[in-house]
Amino acid sequence: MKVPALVMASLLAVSVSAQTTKPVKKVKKPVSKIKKAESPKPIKTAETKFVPKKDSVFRGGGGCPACGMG
Amino acid sequence: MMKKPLLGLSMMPEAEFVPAILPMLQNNSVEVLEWSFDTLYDTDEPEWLGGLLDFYSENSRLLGHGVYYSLFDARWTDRQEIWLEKLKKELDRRNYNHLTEHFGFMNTENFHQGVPLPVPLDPTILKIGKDRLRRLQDAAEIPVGVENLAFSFSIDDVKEQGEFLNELVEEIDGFLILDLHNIYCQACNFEVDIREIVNVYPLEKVKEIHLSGGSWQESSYGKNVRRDTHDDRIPQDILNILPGVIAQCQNLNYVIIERLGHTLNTEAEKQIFLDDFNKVQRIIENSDYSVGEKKSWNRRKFDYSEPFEDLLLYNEQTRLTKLLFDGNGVESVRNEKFHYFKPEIWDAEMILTAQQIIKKWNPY
Repeated sequence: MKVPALVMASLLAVSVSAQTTKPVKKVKKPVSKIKKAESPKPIKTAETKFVPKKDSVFRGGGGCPACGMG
Repeated sequence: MMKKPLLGLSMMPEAEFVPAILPMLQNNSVEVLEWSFDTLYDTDEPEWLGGLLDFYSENSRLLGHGVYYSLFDARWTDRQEIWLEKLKKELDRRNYNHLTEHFGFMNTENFHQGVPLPVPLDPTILKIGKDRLRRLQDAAEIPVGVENLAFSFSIDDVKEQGEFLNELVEEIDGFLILDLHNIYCQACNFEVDIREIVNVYPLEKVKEIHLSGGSWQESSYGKNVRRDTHDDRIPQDILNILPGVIAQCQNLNYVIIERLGHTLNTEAEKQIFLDDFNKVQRIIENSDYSVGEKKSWNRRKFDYSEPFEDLLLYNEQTRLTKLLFDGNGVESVRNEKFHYFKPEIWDAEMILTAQQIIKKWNPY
């Protein structure tokens, strides 16, 4: 199956983008000599719990459960 | 013998999957694509993915693979009705050669967060499966097939799945997907020869073969459990038996390789995936084919009837899912009394594995 040039161009573009948006190594921050003012402590609020919608797609874990042993 | 089966890939929506499959697409080697359309229900499809799926659809080389219909859910609710309505829309939009679903049931409040669990071969359970399959067939109006499940609680599940699937798809003149890695998992977990399990399936009904890799999970009961995680190379044992299995499946049309999109991050992983694809391509090329009689699909017509339900089974499915999710000890699961399920004969490792898989996919 020969994929048309237009479709292939779009795949090449997403391929380049997928490969260039990988996380890069963190650069060490220079040590600041100026002492930062202490930021006020956050006021505790009630925890917000994530309630998934009925029949929503949850892909957080990655993968597919379909075969039953994923 | 049949003509040479087409080799293809199970398409993944992740952008990371694309660099790994580009070499195969550039070689014009991907003869068919399989797409799990319901994994992106209610989510926008990326443009690049839509373009590729449309191309295979326009060339009659697209296969539909459902994940969330659940053939053995004992209750019929709006959820299944909505799923079928969405399926009809997808089939209006794209041309699929056939459609497949998985063996087993999912039973959770949030359906997309479940995992399929096996059901024993029982007349009531079979009747539910046939009812759901008929409704799927009526909505789809194209050939429908069912895939064997990897997960089994006991050797009995392993032994009877072939016969169960045979009786199930008979109802709609349907076909089977034979997932060889699912069978490999059962062979490893229950110490049975893989060919022995393959041979209990009605191989003349196999129209599609699935190939993939997986991983090992440590077990506190002494032996490691093989899981179908779709994140590694195809085991050599599967490649060794593939030529023989192809020769036995007289109506085989497609061989599909499955790999999860986010598991191909390094060059080494991509190379392994490409090597697997090339090895399978060579096996298909080197197999012997001669043109024989083509099996045509004999579509069955069904009269309208109310969906068949069984509340006792529904309650047991719900109780079992909850019991596994709650992480009760193996003995307390085994001591639980059911009418349909027989936990007293289940393997300890498999009870623990079910608990882990349910926790992974079903956060309640």
